Amino acid sequence: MPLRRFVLSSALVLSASACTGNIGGADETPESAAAPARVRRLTREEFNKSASAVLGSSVDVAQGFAAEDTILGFSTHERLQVTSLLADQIDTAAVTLAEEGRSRLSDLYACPSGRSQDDCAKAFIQKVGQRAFRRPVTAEEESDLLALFNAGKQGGTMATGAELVLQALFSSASFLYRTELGPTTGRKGQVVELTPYEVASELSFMVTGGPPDDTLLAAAQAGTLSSPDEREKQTRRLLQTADARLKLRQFFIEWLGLNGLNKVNKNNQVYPDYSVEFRDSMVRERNAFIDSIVKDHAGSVKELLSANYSYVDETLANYYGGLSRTGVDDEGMGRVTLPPERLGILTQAGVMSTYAHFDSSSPIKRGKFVLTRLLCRTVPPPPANVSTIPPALSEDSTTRERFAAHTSNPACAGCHKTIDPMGFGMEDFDGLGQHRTEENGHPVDASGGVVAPDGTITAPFTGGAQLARQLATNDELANCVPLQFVRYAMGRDEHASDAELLAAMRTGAYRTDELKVTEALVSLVRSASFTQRRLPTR
Amino acid sequence: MPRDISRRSLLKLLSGTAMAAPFGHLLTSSVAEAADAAPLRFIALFTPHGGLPEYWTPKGGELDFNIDFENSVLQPLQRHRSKLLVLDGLDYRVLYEHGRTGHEGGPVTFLTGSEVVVDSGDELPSGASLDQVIGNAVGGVTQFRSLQLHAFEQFGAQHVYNSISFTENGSRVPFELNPANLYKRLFGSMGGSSAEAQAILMKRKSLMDYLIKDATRLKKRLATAEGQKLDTHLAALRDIERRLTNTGALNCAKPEAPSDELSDLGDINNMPGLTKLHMDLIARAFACDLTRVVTMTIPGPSMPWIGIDEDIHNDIAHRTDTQTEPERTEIRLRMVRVQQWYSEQLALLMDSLAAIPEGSGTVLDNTVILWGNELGDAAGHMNVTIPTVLAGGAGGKFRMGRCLRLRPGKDPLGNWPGPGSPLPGAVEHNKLLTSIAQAFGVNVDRFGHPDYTGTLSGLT
Repeated sequence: MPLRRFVLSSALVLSASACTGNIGGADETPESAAAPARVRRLTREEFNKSASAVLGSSVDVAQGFAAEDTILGFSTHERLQVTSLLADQIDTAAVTLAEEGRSRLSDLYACPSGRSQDDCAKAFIQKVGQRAFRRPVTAEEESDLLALFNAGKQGGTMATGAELVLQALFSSASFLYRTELGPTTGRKGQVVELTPYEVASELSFMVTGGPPDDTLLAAAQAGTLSSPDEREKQTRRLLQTADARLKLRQFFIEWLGLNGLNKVNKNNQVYPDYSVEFRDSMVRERNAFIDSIVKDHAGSVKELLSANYSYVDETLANYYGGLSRTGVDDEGMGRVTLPPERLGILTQAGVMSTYAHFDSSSPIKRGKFVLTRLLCRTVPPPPANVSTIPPALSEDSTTRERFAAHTSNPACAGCHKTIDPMGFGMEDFDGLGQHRTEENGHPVDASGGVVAPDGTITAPFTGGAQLARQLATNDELANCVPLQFVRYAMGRDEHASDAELLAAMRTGAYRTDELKVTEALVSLVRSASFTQRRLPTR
Repeated sequence: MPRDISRRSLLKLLSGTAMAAPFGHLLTSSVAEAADAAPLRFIALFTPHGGLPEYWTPKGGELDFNIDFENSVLQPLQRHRSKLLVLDGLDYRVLYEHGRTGHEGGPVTFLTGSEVVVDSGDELPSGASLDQVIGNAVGGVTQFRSLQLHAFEQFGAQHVYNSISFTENGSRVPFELNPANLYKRLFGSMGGSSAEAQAILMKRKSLMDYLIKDATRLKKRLATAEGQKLDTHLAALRDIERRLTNTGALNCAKPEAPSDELSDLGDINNMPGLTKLHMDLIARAFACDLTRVVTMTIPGPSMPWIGIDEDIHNDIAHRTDTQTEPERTEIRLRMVRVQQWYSEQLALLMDSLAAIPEGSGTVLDNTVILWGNELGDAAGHMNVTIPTVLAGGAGGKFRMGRCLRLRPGKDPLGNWPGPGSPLPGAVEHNKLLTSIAQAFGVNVDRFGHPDYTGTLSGLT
């Protein structure tokens, strides 16, 4: 029985092998010169769009695949892999997709008289292969795929040959991973420019969540994507598409940690308004409001935080205090002017419910949310010997009083003197996002403050709406959003080589024009961080 | 999988009969007929909420340990007492000595022995979990190196609380939630007939050759860390390739498909049924030698079928440190009901495995089950004295029917000044992981965090 040898870094293998790593050549660049060359596995959504592009018809077969996990809060990260379960799921899906392709083969495969069968097969392979791999098929790949075509044809027809090629494409590594490796001629340890086709893919997936369209592929072929102006032009063109708007919606949802809203659960004894339908209403508001920020305000974070309106269904219009709605659409969503205690996305029921417990609000979760997601601060985990159980519910005190006692422990105070004033300032909203002035018969104290990193209170506020108004003009927040966007779009944390990029984002049109995320995106695609990678040293 | 798993046959597969015990009939392991010695299998079972020392800890000594007392959490396992090795006093030491404790650390370290790494912004281990390591060592002869199952998704896919299995680069291994899909994956390609099957097989082989070549071409261009992604991918492709010609052990009967009555995976009332279907499929997979390594998580948001309608995490676990009586006892006894239900699931799993004869014994005799928890005492949220049980015959590798007191004495936290200071008498669970790895022939002297070395003494 052949036992495949495998590497164990976490377990020390008894027979330690000698160190044989070689030292790089003299012309190597330092690691800080550019982010490492890499491959990125398609997400489920990207798989669907990529397969649809090959077939020329919309498919959603990847919805049943194993879900992505999140890194830094984003599901678009570079650590996604094809594990055994996913490989099996893709294997099965490829059969279905190839059947689909076979049923519409006349769009993909043509063999005019006078041409040899092999030539027709090659033309087919080039056509579908380029769409699947998002670049021209190499000679070696063409010959491998032709062999496969002929294997599939055996005992069958041209159609069965084509079907087998499609099945291979949909489950191949070249389809499943986007490469950021540069040309094959690059030398180890060097910084390289990505190939024009890699740039086209990176740009398209970043803006639309799908593969490059014909226009973008033509630009890659023409070699014009090395120009920042051309990349900006293509980006602005694609930003007008519905796919781009959905991709930006996903950024806002994941940045704000609201992807779990459709799983939020509340204690009905404490919150009689809560129901699955109510939860759906909160999800609908989240989506409709974000969509309007994206569509009507170019993804302006300032508008996101300080809009005095929202889009809600009847349930939430009533919940927010019997608000009257205008422009109610087919989906039952209409625009409302918010009451003074609410402002922007922060005070939406869905946000306040997400950052809360099953049966109460959570000043700690809310404080940490604003600090880490909106201000990019690091909040260390509680010390290991401290109990992190929330204080017990009480019927004769406010949540603030319960938590204030809890975190007066000196071991906790170091961090909680920053977390608590932020979280306590949102105590005018309960665990289901209802506005309140009293809790258990006691008046609610929603005074808080944004504590600067050096520990001084710089900006006192009272209530969620005041906080939102402050955040909309907060420099720390304005500087944080580009970093979060880089994490989402690049699928990794900040790299040493991103300093110039982040500076450009933080001082460019995004900063001067209402914190429009679309402008941050344009700065990103224009940058060297976007097109340069460092090759491995071995 | 060949074409017989197309949409048409899927419908057929799924149109099962009623819910009544789809695999209830007596099975015989086909492995014993095919091999001289029965293989050793590994199951890791993970359940949440922490323990209750006074109700969980067996009374008595090593051999005369007693779990048959009033409100004993382990009481449902009494019928399998001779195949239990209860480990009292094992710690997730790496968590409180290297950074992070509380709930989140448990699932991360349970099978990895790793500290929690938060560089990525998420809570992940630094290396592979025991199931992956064992699967790579022994799983290569079976159709699936390992299976990852989950009885009920509570937090959204691949949440830190959902995942106990990790690849070499510390990424989560996705799990199967739906027993119907698991059935298709395990048994979908079984059966089918000759001529057409042979033609399909030839094409499948050409396809796999191409996919492996394509992935290998890409891997050659990558640095070590990036290349690990393709290593994982290539291992999965080779498993598929191997399955083309290795159709499982001889004479293995394809079981009936599970009913689709429980298709609503989000309905909490379906959790007991889903748990049972998963466990029955584990037994069937072992009987057919389709895999030898399984991990399974059973969460517990609430348990209406035993009258626990409240949120167990917030309304029971977080309240177990209530000091006033009678509330304290009432709340703790509600947690006992929850934990007894988990014990019962393990007992049922053992029943299923014990119902499959193998050689002169049963499949249970040749299985090691590791049952772990996220926390020690639910009240303290600490990672000290984690409720840990080894179950099954373990192929004679461990001496069962005992209870080991790894840290005698009470309340180790009483005088502890906190992290950075050693905790008297602490025994790290890394030792247990190393012992289990060695039982499967994996040549390691430590597992997980490199600070912790050696095996757990007294197991053999």
